[in-house]
Amino acid sequence: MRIFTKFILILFLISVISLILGLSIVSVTGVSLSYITYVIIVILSVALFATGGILEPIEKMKEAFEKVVKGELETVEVLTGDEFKELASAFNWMVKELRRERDALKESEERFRSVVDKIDGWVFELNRDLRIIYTSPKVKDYLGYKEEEVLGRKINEILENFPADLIKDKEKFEFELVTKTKKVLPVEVTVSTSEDRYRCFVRSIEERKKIERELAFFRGILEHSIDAIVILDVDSRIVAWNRGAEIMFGYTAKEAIGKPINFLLPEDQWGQCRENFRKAVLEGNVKDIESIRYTKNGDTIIVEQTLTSIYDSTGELVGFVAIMRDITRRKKAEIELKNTCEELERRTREILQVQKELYHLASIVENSNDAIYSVDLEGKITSWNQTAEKMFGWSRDEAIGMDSSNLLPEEIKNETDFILSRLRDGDSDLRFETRRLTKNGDIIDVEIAISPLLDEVEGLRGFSVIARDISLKKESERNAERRMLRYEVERGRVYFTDNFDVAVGVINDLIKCGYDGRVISRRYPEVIGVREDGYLMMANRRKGITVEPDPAKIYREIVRMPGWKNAVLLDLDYLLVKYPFEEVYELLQKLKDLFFVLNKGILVAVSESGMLSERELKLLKMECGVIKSKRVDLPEEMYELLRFVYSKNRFGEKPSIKDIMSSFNITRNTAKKRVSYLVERGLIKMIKDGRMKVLEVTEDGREVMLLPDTV
Amino acid sequence: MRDTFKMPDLTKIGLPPIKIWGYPILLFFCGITAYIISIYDPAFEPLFLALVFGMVAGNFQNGEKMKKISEKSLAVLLPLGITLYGLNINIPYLGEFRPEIVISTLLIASVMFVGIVWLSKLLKISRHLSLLLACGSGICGVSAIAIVSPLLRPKKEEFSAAIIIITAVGLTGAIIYPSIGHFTGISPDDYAIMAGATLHQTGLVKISSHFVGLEEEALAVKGIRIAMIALVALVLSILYSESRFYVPWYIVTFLAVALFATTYLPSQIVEMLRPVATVVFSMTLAAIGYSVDIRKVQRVGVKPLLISYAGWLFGLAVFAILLWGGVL
Repeated sequence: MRIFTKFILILFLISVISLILGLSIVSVTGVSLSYITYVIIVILSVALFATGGILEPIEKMKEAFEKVVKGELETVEVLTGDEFKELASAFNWMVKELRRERDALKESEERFRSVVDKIDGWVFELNRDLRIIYTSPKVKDYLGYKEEEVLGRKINEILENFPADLIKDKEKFEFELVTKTKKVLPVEVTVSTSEDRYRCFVRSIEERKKIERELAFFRGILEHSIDAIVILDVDSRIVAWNRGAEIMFGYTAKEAIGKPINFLLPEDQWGQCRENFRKAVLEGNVKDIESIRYTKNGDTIIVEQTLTSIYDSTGELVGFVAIMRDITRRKKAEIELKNTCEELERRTREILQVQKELYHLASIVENSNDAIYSVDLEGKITSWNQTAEKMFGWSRDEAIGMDSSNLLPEEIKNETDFILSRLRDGDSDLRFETRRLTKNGDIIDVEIAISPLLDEVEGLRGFSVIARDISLKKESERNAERRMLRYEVERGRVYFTDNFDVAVGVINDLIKCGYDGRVISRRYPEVIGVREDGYLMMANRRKGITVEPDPAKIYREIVRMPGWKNAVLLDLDYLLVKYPFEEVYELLQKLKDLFFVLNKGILVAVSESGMLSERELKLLKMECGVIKSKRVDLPEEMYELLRFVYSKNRFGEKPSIKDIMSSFNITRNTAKKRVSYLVERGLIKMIKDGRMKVLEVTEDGREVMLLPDTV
Repeated sequence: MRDTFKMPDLTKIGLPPIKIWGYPILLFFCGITAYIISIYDPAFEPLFLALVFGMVAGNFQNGEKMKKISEKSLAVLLPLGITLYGLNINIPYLGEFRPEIVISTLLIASVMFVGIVWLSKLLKISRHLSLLLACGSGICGVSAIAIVSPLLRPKKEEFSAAIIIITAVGLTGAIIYPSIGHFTGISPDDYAIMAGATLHQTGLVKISSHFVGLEEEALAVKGIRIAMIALVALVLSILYSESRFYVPWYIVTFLAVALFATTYLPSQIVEMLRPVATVVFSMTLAAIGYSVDIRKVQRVGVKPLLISYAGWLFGLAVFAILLWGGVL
């Protein structure tokens, strides 16, 4: 119903009531003040509520508008069905829109407040007078002031050093604010300017500054590190290349960045490289990777590399850092050291082995059946084994430091000097038979071997002596030789004869008894009748087996003769032509000493040229021994056969006819005839040894071999 | 908040507020004035007048503080006024009436009561206001509203509007009934029954029945309706009590006083005390009127007024049916 209609109806109602009441009063009760008052009250009451019914929606709308003005966005319910209802609908729509707008604004404000509250920064607004007109609660955190303490105050009253002039010109600047507690805080200020205010966002950059300092620090380390520090992306491509890497590999950063790390590696190590990256991803880092790298100029270097994964704040892999150190020199040094160590170990092993051997040898020496001792350059005994104690009678304590000449019989007191001179001349292996004096004064025959004791620094520092007691052997040999030889000659002696045939006969006889025959003569061997293998032609010109007719050289030649069963024939005639008798005589004296001391065998000097005077002959015969021959009643070939069988029997052998045939180079018949001759005289007998017939000297035969000497 | 423009504050227009000590005097003045006027013209219900006086006094003063004091004073004045008002209740002896008169009166009152409640529900009038209007129309006008209002706890503007509406409708009836009696030609006895059974207030019954000279008969019929207040008060107190079967003490004392005054208390004393009770209850209504905003009273609209007229007409219709049906 429209308002117009409502008004009409209300007015109509009032009019009808008034009319009815008026008619009722007039027609029945008459005009009375009381009744008129009643009518007025009724009409006023009706009018009051009628107008109230009309004004109610207006009042509601007014109240709703007042609420809207106060900010209370409430809808209004008007059920009048008239224009007020439409107005209320429009009002309600407006309220809804305002609510939506207010909610949006509130949401926006809450969002803004939430952002401002939660954001890590202080937001404030300044008006044109630079007074703070808004501040976020973070002012407490940044300055230590409460919001109400700063609102309305000029910014420079709060922050004395605030660069107020900058906010008009710059959108962003940095400065160090001083808090209420006088703490200095570096901040970054972002300014947005509107018409009447400056909105400033202050953010602490303390952490950033710290990070920048740390970054600068690490950049310094990165740049000045002698190690190559290379940062790689997840595809193992180089993204950073420090100065150390430039020096190490020769590539500049510009050349290296963007390339895969593989370009530094030999192709055969790419697989290992991939494996290292895989391990770095799984385990975080891989340390102590020793690997080969190529430099720009093609050199190969060895690096020790540490590969570490780099993760961002979300834990996602963003790359790797490879730190490489050139260990080429170190590796070489290690290899050398290793080789040296190995060499040292080898030598140590050798030393230990040698030591072991030495112990072993010492044990051998100590327990040897030979007397072993050593002598220094002063002739003092420096070592002495048990056998030496037994052999020579001196205990070790007595012998050590004792003069070695105490061991020498009187006639060979100069043996030590002789040995030292020989060793100094270069002889390293002296072996000879000699004699030694025991503590109780007995003289024993010994076979000694001399070895020099050398010092790496000082050279010869003494010699060792291995002595074997050969007294019994020597005695039996002397006896055997005496029986077998046709001449009365003794080993270690020098003889002189003026008969060349006798000299040759002695030498040949000695050769037959096992001596090594040596002939030093100007005569030809076929003339002399000796074998050529032991012949030395005395001649100045060196050709073949010659020796210069020089006493010293002849002496040296004889000295060098090995062994001690030498049968030497020295033809003095050519020497006497070349040298005076005194020198020859002196040579013979030295040879006499040599043969006596070293017991080298038998030397027969011969001269039949008549160049010697009687006195000289007499001197020579006095100095040397005289050769005597045995008287044997047997023909020489028979005596030779008897001596052959005797010599074989001495060693337990019993020769057959065949052996005689081959030894004497004779026919069977001749051999049988000679054997029969000796068997008939009872000097040998034939006995059976299995199927063979062998020969053995009888007691009579032995007697013949011991026949007395004849002059 | 938006502060684009400011609404004028109408409450600041008017007389300066009275002092705190002037408030009881003001109430007493309102009460005694209303009572005096009602003596001269019983049509002017003293409770109604006191309410109007209180409203006028309250709406022409800017005494928010005093209004709060008046609201608090009701906690004492209202039970006291109700209790004393029991002296004005004269419970009739039903044996004096013919049964059809008693039944017809109760039926008419019930139809008016139910009719108003029904129409209120139909037109979406608040339940409290509809009950106040129903009680006012069916029982004994303003006094019934004043007695049941503490039980229903209606808004002050609804309470005030109900009193004004019932007074206006009652006055309308008081003016029109002589004409009805004159033009319809019903007998004076029937007229007395009609006035007693359908008019809202005792004063109005007295005035309207003065027309035919059967005031006592009309007031006796009205007494049947007045006696219903005891029953209705009990029922409503039980229905609207916070706890079950609870009856407020002032209702009990009200009923006790009414019973005592009707039966044992000497009528001289009752007659002597009745002005006091009327003045005290008027002061209570003046206090209510003092704290109520007349614009809010106005805003209940014309519907309750129309419903009250309709309820009254329902009563008249039932009476007409009973009359012409030969019951009366």
